[in-house]
Amino acid sequence: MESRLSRRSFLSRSAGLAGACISVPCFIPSGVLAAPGRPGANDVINTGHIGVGGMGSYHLNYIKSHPQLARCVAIADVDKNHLKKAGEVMEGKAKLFADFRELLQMSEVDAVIIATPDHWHAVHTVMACEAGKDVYCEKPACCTIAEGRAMVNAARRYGRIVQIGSQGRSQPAAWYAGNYLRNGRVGKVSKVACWHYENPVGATKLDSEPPADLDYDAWLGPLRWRPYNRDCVHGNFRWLLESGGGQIRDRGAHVMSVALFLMNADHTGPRFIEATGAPPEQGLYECPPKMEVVYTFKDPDWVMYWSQPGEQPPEAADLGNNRYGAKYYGDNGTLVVSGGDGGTDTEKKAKDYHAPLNGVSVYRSPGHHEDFFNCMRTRQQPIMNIQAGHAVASVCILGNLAYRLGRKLEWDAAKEKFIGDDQANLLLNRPGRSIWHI
Amino acid sequence: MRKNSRRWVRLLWVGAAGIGLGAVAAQAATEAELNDFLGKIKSDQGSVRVEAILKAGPMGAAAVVPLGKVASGDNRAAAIAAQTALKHLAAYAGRPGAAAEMKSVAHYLAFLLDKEYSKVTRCLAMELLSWTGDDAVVPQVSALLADPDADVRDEARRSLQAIPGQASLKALIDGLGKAEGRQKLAIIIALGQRAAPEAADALVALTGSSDTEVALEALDALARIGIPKRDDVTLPSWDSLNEAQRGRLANSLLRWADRRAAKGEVDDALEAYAAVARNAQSEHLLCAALIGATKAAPDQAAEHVVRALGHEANTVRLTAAKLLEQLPPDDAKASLLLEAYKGAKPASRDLILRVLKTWNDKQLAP
Repeated sequence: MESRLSRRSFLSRSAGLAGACISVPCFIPSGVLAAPGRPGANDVINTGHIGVGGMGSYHLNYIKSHPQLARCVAIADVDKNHLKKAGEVMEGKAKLFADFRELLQMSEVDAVIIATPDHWHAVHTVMACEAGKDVYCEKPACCTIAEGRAMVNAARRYGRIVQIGSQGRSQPAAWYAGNYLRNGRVGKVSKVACWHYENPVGATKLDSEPPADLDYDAWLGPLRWRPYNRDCVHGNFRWLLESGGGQIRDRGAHVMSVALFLMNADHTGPRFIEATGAPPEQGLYECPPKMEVVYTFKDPDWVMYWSQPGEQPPEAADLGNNRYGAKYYGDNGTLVVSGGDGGTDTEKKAKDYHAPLNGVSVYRSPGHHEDFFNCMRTRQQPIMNIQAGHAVASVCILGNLAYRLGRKLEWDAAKEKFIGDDQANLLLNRPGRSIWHI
Repeated sequence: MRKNSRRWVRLLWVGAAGIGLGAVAAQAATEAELNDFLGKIKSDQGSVRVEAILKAGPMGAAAVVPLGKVASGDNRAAAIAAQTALKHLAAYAGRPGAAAEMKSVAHYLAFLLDKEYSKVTRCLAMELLSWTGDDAVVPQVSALLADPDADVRDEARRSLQAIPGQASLKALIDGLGKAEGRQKLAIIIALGQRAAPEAADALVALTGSSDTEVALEALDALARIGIPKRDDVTLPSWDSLNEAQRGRLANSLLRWADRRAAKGEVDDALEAYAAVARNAQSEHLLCAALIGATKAAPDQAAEHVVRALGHEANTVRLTAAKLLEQLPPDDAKASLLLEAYKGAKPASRDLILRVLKTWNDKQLAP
């Protein structure tokens, strides 16, 4: 080991403060004076994009069309076709990589936008934090409870800003609904009923060799080995329990994210979880087409239902994006919030409501990307920070675990452990494939 | 049902009694029920297959091997159903209060590791053993660390990493000596993930490896274990590493420092945080060192955090300010801040005032 250092030499590299600072009056807020490597208020943020398929190409195009927010300088993808297409979108102005680790080594990248399949989210996020990058990671945050905890720890250890892509919280409707509910307009909410259409049932395509343009070993990454099948990769990862986890983890990370936000429950978790469902009658996909999950929360006491397909409430008929959403039942009334993602909507009564002067104030996001980039500068926590992302993903994951194990589970949210179920506790984590780990 | 399958079922009954699992076998399905179940798994009607899957659990250990055969067969729909049924069966066997049943299921899952089963079935069996297995199945799983197929070898490593107990840990440590390339790295990582002090000696030996990847992964694994300081750990010189490798070493030191701090070894932790702060060329590593040191020893770290308010990097300054705001205010820290204010640049002065205001508000709060 190196020789013992005095504690006074802790910051010896920074003891003599660097260079000339601009002499300005004291009323200019800190952070405006840009320092090397980090954005000041007027600097454009440089982004690196990992995964530029479906949602990844959406983010790329968003950044490209909002040059005042950020600038894409690098892209990484394991699919040569995705990479080529993304390079064309960026008109050759971004460096292209097959290996995301090379992108993370670029000092000019301030933040990474991760839009890879769910099973990569934790490893990418942790490694990005370790490389000093702030992170915008698509939802759900993770596939296991242990992954989520590792992501939270990495963000905290390095003081990184991490925003999870459950953009429903940043929609105006979520703010209206938050004001309405948190100021007691329906009374104490005791039930939240989520509805969502069923999981798809796939065909039974044969396994095959992966195409030459796809690095399948890299696509699998930390996911345990399975033979290549065209119906199980790219967007279709969603319908396998180990990678996507089905609608409950995919859209559930939107609908239940808004639910936890409106219920102010990011710091808690359900006490009991029960699930019913049956596997598809045919095909490769494992997620149950129909599913019912009951989450029982304690202190305060309330219950959340996740129902596939569930029943769309009549109030949702006139709302946008109403194929999924949630209805909130209080002592004195109800409120419906449809969608939960970029198309979140709510009832007129919430939109018309104005909180009183001393009422509960709900944070209003300027927009999900905007919120992230603002927080990169101020180092304040964004609206869907990793702690919230972990809490939401945990709810989704717990629902799937109750289904897979076929029994009622009791959860200690503070310790992040099941009570009295050793096998369930073994499923809180899973070893990564090959060298990929959290 | 085919002749061979009936023979298998009879053998299973004999085997179960022979190894003292008669009590468990007696609770499982009858031969007729099992045959009916397997017939439904192979049905060409999806609804019938699903009905059987949902009843797989109570079929018990006797169903494992026959299901493994169907899972490895050419009938694709039946194979998928059998794989799903195995998952349900393993989950059912793991319910609280059914330890003997889970042991029995694991025992038969280990049969599915044999080469006569398909690669998919063998890998599935290893996955299921990772949440049903114990010491008893480790010999069969660890034998696959030497399988000719790299995916099978890695699944064996994953399974051993997850199976609780000393036997799996020993198998990983033993496997380390024979492994090469990616498998070697994966086993090193697995030992770190297990955070097992028993692996320390084997890992310490690897810190001196001429393969930098091996050495760095071994250091990271030791950091996750959080071993006390040892003279035989080889730390590479910072100058010998490229930037990415320096980052990895710094990350490992930070991780080790966090572990030592969690064990109450504050001096060790502060020394490591200091090493990172001195050698790190990236602001995020300095932020991490400050965050860790403040958590481990807030009073001792306060002086350094105050000095960080004057750092050239915006992120470091803001991180320092946030750390100070979270600390309980006292006269000593307030004096440090006021002293720092005198020589501070405007950006830093603003942060100092912000911290003081936060402390003031805390003290005034009811």
